[in-house]
Amino acid sequence: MRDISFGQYYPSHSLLHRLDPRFKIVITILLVVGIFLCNTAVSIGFAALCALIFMLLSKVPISTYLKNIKPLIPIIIFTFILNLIYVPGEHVIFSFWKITLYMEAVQTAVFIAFRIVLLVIITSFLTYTTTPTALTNAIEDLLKWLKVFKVDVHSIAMMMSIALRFIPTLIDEINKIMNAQKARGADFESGNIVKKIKAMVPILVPLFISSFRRAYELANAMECRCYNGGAGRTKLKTMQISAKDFVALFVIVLAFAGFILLNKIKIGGLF
Amino acid sequence: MALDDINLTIRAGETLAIIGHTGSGKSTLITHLNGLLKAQSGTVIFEGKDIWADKKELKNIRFKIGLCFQYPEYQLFEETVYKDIAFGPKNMGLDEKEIDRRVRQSLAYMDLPESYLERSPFDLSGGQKRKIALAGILAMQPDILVLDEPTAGLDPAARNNLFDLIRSYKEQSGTTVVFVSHSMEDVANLADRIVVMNKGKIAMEGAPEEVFQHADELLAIGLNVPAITKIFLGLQKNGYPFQTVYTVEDAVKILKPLIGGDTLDA
Amino acid sequence: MSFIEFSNVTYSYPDTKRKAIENIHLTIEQGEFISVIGHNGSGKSTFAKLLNGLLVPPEGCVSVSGISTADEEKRLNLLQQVGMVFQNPDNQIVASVVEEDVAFGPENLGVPPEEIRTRVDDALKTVGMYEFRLKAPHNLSGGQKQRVAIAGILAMQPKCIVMDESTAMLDPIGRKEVMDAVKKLNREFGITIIYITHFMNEAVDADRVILLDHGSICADGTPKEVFADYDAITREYGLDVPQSYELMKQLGVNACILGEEECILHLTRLLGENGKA
Repeated sequence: MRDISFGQYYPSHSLLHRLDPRFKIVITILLVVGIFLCNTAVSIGFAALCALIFMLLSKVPISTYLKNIKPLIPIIIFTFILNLIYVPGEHVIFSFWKITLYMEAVQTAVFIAFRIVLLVIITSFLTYTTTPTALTNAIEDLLKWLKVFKVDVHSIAMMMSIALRFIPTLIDEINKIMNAQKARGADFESGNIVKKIKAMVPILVPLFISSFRRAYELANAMECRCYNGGAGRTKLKTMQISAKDFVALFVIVLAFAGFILLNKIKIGGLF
Repeated sequence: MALDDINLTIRAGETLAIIGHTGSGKSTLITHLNGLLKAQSGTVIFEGKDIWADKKELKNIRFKIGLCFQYPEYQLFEETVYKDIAFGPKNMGLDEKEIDRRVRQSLAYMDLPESYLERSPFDLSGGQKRKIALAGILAMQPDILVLDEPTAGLDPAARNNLFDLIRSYKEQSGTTVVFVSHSMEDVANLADRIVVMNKGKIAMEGAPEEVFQHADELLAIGLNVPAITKIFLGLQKNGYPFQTVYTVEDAVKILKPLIGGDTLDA
Repeated sequence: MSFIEFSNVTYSYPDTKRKAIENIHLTIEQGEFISVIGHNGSGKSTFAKLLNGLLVPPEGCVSVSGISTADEEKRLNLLQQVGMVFQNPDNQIVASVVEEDVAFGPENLGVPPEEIRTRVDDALKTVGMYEFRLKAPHNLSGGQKQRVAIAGILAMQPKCIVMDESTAMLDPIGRKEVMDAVKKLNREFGITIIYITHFMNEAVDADRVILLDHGSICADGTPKEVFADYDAITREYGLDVPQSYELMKQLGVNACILGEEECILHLTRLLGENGKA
């Protein structure tokens, strides 16, 4: 539980930290789409290179990125095996009993595993280099046009930023409650699924109650600090677009084009 | 390192206070006592056996070493006070009759009427909720009762009341009590022995009169001595050769014969 | 006209019959340092919420700088003038970075960005948290979090700060940090401090103490005046007294001595007079 660092800002003054958050969101979306389009070894290798450059430029230790991948390892292995078994193809590697392993399956399994890892890296780059406030401000700004349809973009952005702010607090809280109930002999590990779900009640009830209390107190505290919705608010950090933002976007567009072009090069006709 | 080379013996029947500023390792230390955390090296021995020797036994250790965390009222979850206090005993696998006996007895220890049993714990006041949560630990009839800042956030009356209850519970049951506190006055009034934690190590250990002798060292690690001890240290400085005291009671014993009392007005 | 005025204020929460605050009449001047004491349920928190219009009394009137808290149009102005710091530090921090949290108030007030920057930096420097401005609040100690919360209020440039049991969840070091910070604000900036606490040794540090019981003011005066009636304080109102006062009482010395230094002086004098030591 304690390893979850999603949505946590890593303070630094790197180039990537200083980019306009709106551009960072667009860049992230481009890269995510790009990674999905990659379907050759060369283009995935190129995407991995891009991700590596991003990690280095962000001045966030690579180990911190890896921490985000760790909890996903079971999912990666699971999808890997699933793909290996179920993806059909023409090039048989071997056949045993009812299972036939195709070259295509190996290819899909490897590519998807890589894609998941790269996606995690790219999205964590965004949250590591951008404060949640900056991120929500950017989303608020990018979605401004939705106001035409009477969508309260400000409130949605505020809720997001508060949710991100409370993630570590709630994780701490869950740990505390679990320990307190374990001290009274609660058992969360053994038994079948029904028993395990029942065992969650002593955690969930206190968690809900305390979350409501927190919400109530936070609302009071926000009111005391003159929060009155989005109207008339100013920002500590105004978002300002500079030349480096356009340069960064241009580089990413080039990289995006690179992904598509490199998809044409296939090693051994398959990869 | 949260804890570093801790060697500590808890004696049966004693009241041990653990003091130290936030982050000194107090809370980490007590979560090792009942095996909620496992030390990378070293052992925790309870009644001659390593608590981690048999993993299946670990659950039973938690019933024998009752750990009551800070703000325990936040762990309440059942619809009624009765069910909540019964949670521990139920997990122990006791029969209904024994659970019933223990629930009522624990409630009595906390000096609350039986009419509370059918009430929702969430309708009670903060101080009462705390007592219910503590009763839930007592109902396991632990050999050692471990309390992490049992009176944190309570008002003076509730604070004194809870300490009185813990004291009388201890007298009646003979349970060993280990408690963490930030109030030197409370520590002085309650503890037989004090362990001082600093940076994950035990900085000092001894009876209150020994530990509170070292006022300067305690201040240096962000702790304090009881106000009454400070007053006596001041008097010593002014040339009065009193011994160091740490409770108002002892101070009165020394000063009463020297000061006439009634006739004097400020 | 006084800075804050309560005239015949009574308040009871909906769905309860009991009056949380009953017929309070009170004036507070700009620059005072007041502590408010009373056992749980004595109406302290309700009193606090009446100060800035979070609660508006159906009977009587509360006014700040001549503005009634019932005046809907001046609501933001009131909240800006009377800031409030609550008990649980985790439940009043809005942003994930210290400086962004401190900026929250001024942002809501529509202060221009350059001025927010100076206000945030000044406020953080005043409470000694400037070097933590880029840190995540959840990694700070309790005392540090509360100082960030104070900075967040300070950045709104208030005339008064209400501390609603803001030290209840802190350890002694954290309590001292917070106490030192608010003393500084009172001394150097003339900000009125209303300090609600369960710790009597904090309460006696104030210039004026207000004792609440069952929603009414039972005593209002200097610490010595309020604590003068030992029996009432310890029995009737469910509070306790500093150990120096306890000692005097048990020695049969009729003196309300609340501080350790004063106690040492007094005892030295008494021992000298008796000449037995």
